Amino acid sequence: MLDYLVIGIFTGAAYGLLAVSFVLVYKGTRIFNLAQGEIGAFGLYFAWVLVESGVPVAVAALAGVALAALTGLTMERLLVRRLVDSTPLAALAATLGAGLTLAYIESIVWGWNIKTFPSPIGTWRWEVGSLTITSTRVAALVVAAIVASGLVVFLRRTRFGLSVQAATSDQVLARLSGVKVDQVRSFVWALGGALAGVAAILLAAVLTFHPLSTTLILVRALTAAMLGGLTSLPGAFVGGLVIGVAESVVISQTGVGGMVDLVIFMIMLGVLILRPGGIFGAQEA
Amino acid sequence: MRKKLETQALIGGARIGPVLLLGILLAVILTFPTLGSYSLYVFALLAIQGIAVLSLNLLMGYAGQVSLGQAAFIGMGAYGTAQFASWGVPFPFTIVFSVVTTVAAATLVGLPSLRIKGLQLAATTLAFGIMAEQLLFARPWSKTATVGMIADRPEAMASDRAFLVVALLGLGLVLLIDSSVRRSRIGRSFFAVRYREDTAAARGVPVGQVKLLAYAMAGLYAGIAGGLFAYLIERVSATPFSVWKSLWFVVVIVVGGIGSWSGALVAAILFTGMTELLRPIAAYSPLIGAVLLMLAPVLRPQGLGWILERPIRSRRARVIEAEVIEREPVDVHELVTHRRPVRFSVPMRTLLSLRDVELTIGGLEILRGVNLEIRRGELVGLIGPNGAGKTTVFNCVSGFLKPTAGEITYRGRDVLALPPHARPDLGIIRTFQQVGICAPLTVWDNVLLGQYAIHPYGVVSALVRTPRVRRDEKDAAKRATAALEAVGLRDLAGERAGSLPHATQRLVEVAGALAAGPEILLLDEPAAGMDPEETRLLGARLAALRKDLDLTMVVIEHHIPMVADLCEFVYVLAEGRVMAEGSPAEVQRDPAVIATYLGEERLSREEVAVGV
Repeated sequence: MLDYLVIGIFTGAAYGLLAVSFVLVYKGTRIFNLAQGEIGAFGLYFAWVLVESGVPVAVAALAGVALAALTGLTMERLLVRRLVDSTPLAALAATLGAGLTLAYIESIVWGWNIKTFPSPIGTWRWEVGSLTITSTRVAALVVAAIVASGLVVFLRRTRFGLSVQAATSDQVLARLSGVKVDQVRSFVWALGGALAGVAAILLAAVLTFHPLSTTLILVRALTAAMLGGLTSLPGAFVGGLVIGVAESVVISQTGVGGMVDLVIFMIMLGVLILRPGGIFGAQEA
Repeated sequence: MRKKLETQALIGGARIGPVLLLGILLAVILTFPTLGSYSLYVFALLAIQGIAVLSLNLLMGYAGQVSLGQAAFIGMGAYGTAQFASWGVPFPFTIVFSVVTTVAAATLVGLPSLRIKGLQLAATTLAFGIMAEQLLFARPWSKTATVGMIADRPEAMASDRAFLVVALLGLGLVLLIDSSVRRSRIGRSFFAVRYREDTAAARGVPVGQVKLLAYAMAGLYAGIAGGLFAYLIERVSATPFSVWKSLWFVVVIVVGGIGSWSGALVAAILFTGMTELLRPIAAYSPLIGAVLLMLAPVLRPQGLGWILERPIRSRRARVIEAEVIEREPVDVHELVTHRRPVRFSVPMRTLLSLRDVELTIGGLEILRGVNLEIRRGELVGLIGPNGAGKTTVFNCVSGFLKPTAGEITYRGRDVLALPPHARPDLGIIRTFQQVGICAPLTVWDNVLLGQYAIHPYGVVSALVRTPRVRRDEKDAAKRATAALEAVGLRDLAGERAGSLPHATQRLVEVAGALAAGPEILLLDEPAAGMDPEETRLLGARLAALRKDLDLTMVVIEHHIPMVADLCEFVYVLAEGRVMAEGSPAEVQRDPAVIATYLGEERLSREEVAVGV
């Protein structure tokens, strides 16, 4: 049981990172971006292609993250910017369409079959008592934690990070104080895309991937984000850990994959009905 | 950038249309004995898809509740039917029972909508869809999980032709229900909740109940679709109800135009037809759907419905013209509501009274002990600088905010315990500073919306359109005409409310408020954005209405001459307190008022009030 708890933390960290990227975009532009997972997955596929053609894994992963950032940026420039006047419902539909478009393009180009991604930090395993920790799991936890805390430091300590914070909390005021809100919006989407790319690659190394798999994973990330009230970056990360642990424990205790989805659904309902403001870290990041 | 307006199909619409359509379809099918088994299958599939998309159209398009897990409800209908069949339940009851369970499940999934609004709900439906697919339909507890469940058709509809007739009858039934809903106060309340929850509540719509009803009705349609689908394929497996199917439904609804039943049907037919008939491009149909889903909100938010419903709309506009605009003059006394016997529990003229009302939000004292007495038949002005708490007073009286201390009584009765939607029934009707209209609907439909509480017929009556419903709807039309006449907007009845000038939109809201049968009317800056002539006219109309309808009015207004002309009593609010009260002349002489309010007024007459 304790083993599964630990195992859950590794994947949970990657869920948390995806949740953080979702919250960043949601806070920054008030778009409930259902394409967030697929933006990352697009970078993941690119990285996979590079690895297949012999590029070193770490380099390929970085290139994939860069493409994910570019995908996020492009989506903001070409699509999201035109949704300003739309109803939230229409905007939601558009992001869903964008995510599905990316996924179906992947399926046409690379097929539906299930793929795996090699560990970006080499392959080794680590035996601790009854527990086997693989390098992919370590990568998921360490990289996700570093990236997520790096983001928080960036937002709180750097001048540009503060202007992002300003623009996301009050657009009018930020514009009056000389923050270039449009640039910040693009930046937030690019940054969100990069984070999603990191999360997608880490998860692909631990689990497997296929077109649309990241949309399914996004549901876990969304639940994590809701545990943090949809506005807290640390809350979303902690939420991801909780989801990862819950998943690992439920799988080990029941052996039925569908039970995890039931638990995720119950957590979501529970949070929304009992604590709509979230449970972890209601404060700002 | 060019501003794109989302237009909404008129709530009414043709009842004869769907019946005619289905009649023709039935005739074609029955007279073409050469139709092969595959064609019959495709037609039946289309009919069932039609019911399925109408289910999502009602939930998302009418009531504005996004569902990304609709296929799960249809799957519940199908699995339920197969399950009941396996327990030996005879045919129609298999579907009936499974519809009941599907309705229950859909209502359950809708429960969080009572607590929260918006897009997080979409995430829960997605999670529900995935859970249903992975657990309920995968049935890890069953040995037969991999082969699916058997649902053999009963003798009577064993042939493909007979089954097609049953499927089309099912679609016809759902179309009739849908049309009855749209033409009733139930459908109007769905749209009101979708576009303006606060206005809906202020007109007596119990927002939470209405949302749950929308989920339940979507479950009803989905259950019927699922039950028929089980008998179509006769072996129920999880694949047709995957979460991707749910997202496909969203594609259909958005491409068809969110809220347009005919657009949704045509889009469903186009997509299914594309997949079934044009096999070579079938592989690309998900991609095509996804691209359309991405682009439709940007390029054409109205979807196909925009093209399809234009003829219906122009016909409805003509009907409105004939019945509303060109009919003989109406008497404003149509608006007097007799359902409310005047009972004063205290023998005094005071209608509304606020005593020491305090409100603190997040440590901020917004109201610090407000005392107001509004006597029956009075026209009272409520003035004060921005942020004085005027709108907050309205919010407390109409139930949108709960005072932290103090009491509010109406006709001597404590109203604090009543939710917002129960207060219109007492005769407390308000308007909003941010105009409380449903912009995509017509002026006419907006005014009909106001009357939710006046004709309290239930869902079942609405569905079968009992004589009482017909009578009530006629009465509603009469009252709406009178209300439009009273504010001088009868000529604009057929216009899209959101396309009118701002000042006219305010009048639309006032008309809706009048139609709601007010005893006391709380108007929040009714003259904002009007030119002096329009303001004068509005003042004259309000004064006349007060006399004719025996109304009591409280008006928040920045336009001092209008207040001075119109009101016999004025309260001046500043910093959450009443700083002066009396006749307009008395108040205008008050040195404190001159210092704090009128001084600022001169500076900031045009400033938009940011009142809390």
